[in-house]
Amino acid sequence: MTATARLPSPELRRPRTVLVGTMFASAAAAMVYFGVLALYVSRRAEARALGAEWFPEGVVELGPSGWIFWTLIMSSFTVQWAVQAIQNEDRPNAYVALGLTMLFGAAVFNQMWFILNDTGFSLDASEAQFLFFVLNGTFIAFLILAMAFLFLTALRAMFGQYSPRQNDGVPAAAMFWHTVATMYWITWIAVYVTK
Amino acid sequence: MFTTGFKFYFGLAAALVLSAVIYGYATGGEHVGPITWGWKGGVGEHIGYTMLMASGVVASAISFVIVAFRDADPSAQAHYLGVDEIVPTATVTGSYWPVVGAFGAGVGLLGLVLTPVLFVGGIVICSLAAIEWMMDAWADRATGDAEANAALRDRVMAPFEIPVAGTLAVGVIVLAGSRIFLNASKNGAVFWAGLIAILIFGIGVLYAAKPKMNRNIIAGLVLTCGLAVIAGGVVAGVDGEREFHPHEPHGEDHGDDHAEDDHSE
Amino acid sequence: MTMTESPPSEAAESTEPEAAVPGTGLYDALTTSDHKAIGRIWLRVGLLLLTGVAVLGVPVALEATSADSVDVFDGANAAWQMNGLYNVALVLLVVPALTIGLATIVVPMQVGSSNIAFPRAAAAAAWGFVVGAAIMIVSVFAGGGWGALDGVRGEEADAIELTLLGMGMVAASILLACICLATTVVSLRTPGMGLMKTPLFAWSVLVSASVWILTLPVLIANLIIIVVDLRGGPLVFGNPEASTMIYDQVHWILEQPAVFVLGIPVLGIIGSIVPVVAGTRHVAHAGLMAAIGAAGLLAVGGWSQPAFSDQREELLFVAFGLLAVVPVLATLGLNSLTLAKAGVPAGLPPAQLLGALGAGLLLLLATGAGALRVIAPLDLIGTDADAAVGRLVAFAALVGLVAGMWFWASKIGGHALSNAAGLGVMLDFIGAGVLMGAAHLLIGFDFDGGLNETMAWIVFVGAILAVIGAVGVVASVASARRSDADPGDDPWNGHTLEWATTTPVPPENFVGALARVTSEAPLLDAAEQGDSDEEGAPS
Repeated sequence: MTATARLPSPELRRPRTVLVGTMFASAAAAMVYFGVLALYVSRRAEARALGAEWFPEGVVELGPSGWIFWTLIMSSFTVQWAVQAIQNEDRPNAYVALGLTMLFGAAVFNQMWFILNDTGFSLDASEAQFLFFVLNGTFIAFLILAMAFLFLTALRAMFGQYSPRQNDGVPAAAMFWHTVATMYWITWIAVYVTK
Repeated sequence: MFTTGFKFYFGLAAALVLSAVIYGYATGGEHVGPITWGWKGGVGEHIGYTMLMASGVVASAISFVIVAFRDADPSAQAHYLGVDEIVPTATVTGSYWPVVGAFGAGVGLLGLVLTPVLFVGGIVICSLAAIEWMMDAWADRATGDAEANAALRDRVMAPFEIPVAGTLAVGVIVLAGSRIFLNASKNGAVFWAGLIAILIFGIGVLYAAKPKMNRNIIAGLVLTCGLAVIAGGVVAGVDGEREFHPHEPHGEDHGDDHAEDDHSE
Repeated sequence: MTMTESPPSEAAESTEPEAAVPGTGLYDALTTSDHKAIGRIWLRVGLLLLTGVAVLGVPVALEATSADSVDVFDGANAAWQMNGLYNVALVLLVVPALTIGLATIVVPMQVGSSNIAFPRAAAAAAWGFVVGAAIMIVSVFAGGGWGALDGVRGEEADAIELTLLGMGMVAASILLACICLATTVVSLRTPGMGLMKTPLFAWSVLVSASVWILTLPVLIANLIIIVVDLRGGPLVFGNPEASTMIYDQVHWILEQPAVFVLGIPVLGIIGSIVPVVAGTRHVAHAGLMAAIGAAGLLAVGGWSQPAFSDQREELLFVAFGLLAVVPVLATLGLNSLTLAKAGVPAGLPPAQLLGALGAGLLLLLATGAGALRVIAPLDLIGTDADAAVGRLVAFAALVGLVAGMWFWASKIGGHALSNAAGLGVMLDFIGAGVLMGAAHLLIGFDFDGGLNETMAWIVFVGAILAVIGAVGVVASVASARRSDADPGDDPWNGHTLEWATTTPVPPENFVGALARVTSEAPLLDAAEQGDSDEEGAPS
């Protein structure tokens, strides 16, 4: 204990590197998702142009997907709460906010799983069902990544890292979280509202 | 007010959004569809329109973030930290974990196609690499003394690393090796098993005889053998197992010690 | 207990492993977090791939000379798969590996940083690329590839999946490297260096990395859809029985506009070499930055995916195709003005200057061929003109990157490369690019009178020249490593910060703090300041 107390403090890090890197990574993640979405809407438009039915009437309901929408909105507030708290060196609030965000993430995962089961779709039944699965599966993959990023950040915060001046990890995790939430909001309109 | 980074990314965004609108109208967009994301009227050809619009939106998001950071200019970073001059980049120690993570991802991809066990193995390797990577990153900034940081890291992680690494190494060799043995003919499998055993034994003898051996040689041997086992696993896995035909009982003399045999010799 | 203990002398002897020279050797390559060592991994892999792909190009070209009488690959299907591997490997393996390698070494030094951003992630990207490329190449030879002309049998479906997954891993690794490079340029610049004062190569790397960040994820999305479809979908996107379907779906990455991204770093390399050879500042640094940025806009891909909806005769595709010539012309024009301002140096030109100008001209040919291709009455789309644009861009990039390797050789490996060998290699690559590009374009025009057969043989000659060039580069690098000659810290009187380091470059790049930067050419500023001090000094 006394030995480590005599050791020098770690050097200051460049404060924007992690955030800029996360910004580019978020951009790449968003483009993967939009790549899948583009194919989805394109094939749906082609099917409609031919007069074919994309989904059977009433199978994809707006209710559960709307709950995901609102849950993600709440999570965007809580993750910003964490950013604010860590910048103010208010660790208890930061832990609560990070924990709540992850809880909302788990709820979204649960709701998404429910939707995939509730529709009764199968991967190989039709092009529409297949693309519905791939699009939502890609979203779930990014959601898991975002939750892992948050978990890692929370762990580091609990180990004593981050200070009002050196706290890039938390806003970076928040930036990726907002990106994933935005992916869903766009999907909600493009897939669930305009079926 | 508008930084260079903002001008570049926002210019890119504006041009891409404009391109999306032009593309939408040129490919059959109707009414105000291309300028309202399809709210009123069609947007034309969907893939091109969506990708152009998405690229524009993403580029504009980058432009807003980058202008908020004032292009992450050194002076803006110094101002944020409250120092006169920005610090140089912090030192990052060397680490095996990036290469292990890449190797694990490769094993996972092979497993996705060839066998679930290999897939799980890949995920385990990647997870371990991620944990170790995180611990390395933590240790790098634990104190301002690099030696103390390294000692701290080893004290925490070494008791876990050695047994887990040994188990994993054996697992990968067994899995990839099994693909090779199942693909090869009966005598071929014996040959390959012998060769791999001789290789492992040979490396062990070499290391025992020359404990001061250059670490580059050790790294080279491990890398070459690892890649060879994976490449062999790919080829053999893709090629599939040889055909096994159950033996018909031939009477008491032969017994049924070998319930199956192959006809690929 | 005592049996397992070593005698004191032996124990003392065995506790210290034999120390390797820092920064060299396989151990350091595997564990490194130094951007120079990571860059060298990319370059070595790139040169290995260049040689392999160039060699593969010879039988591929020979097969194309006469499909009936020549059967190099034992069947049309194998020939088609090898042709696919050649096309994909040239654009997605060789050029990116060399580009990222050069950028990973040079860019941090150019912006005055002691390392790349996220060095461990950069190392993971390099090794991920190696593993992904290995999976992709091995699986193609194991019967995979991007489909099969004669339908898929047995385990070939597994091999096809592995090819696609390997390709995805390669794309993800390139993306990760791009994120590290772009972050370095944005957030690790030295004090005083605003983005407008960024050296042109670093700026071009930021632009091309940004374009790749917008484009490569779309390829990954395509691959996700195809692989999931192959593994249990309705086989709408990944039906291996439908011959070339999978290849067609990912082919857009090899076509304009997406393929033009390979040429953007070339514009930065030209912009870095020309003012140093001319010994003066650029006439319009900001104009060159704008031209490179515009080239980036016109290389954003992913929106043109003809396999799903062919819109290559529509207004925007035509406009992108025609406009792509403009930034290249602007870059070449502004660099020519810089050269003209100082006068072209007499005598044998430095290899890097020949390479830079040759690369620029090849890029002009590439964008010119692309402009011809989008003119609907010429009816070139879907013909060999597609390959012409791809080959010309790829060879422009190769020539530019080799010129960059010659220019920055002392900072890359601590040795200078032979000027005579460089001139030979670059002329050879320029010849290969021109022959292959022009011949493919003429085949695309489909003139009568047996011209196509002659052009196919010209492509074959170009392929042989490419092999000679690749071997020449590898031989030059190998011979330089054996040389004891000291290249000096700044052999060309460079203008940017990489020339402020010593040779070989120390682990932290710069010894001591750098002076505050006031322009895009800080070393030229320092030299001019020194001159004016001397003039003003009392005699």
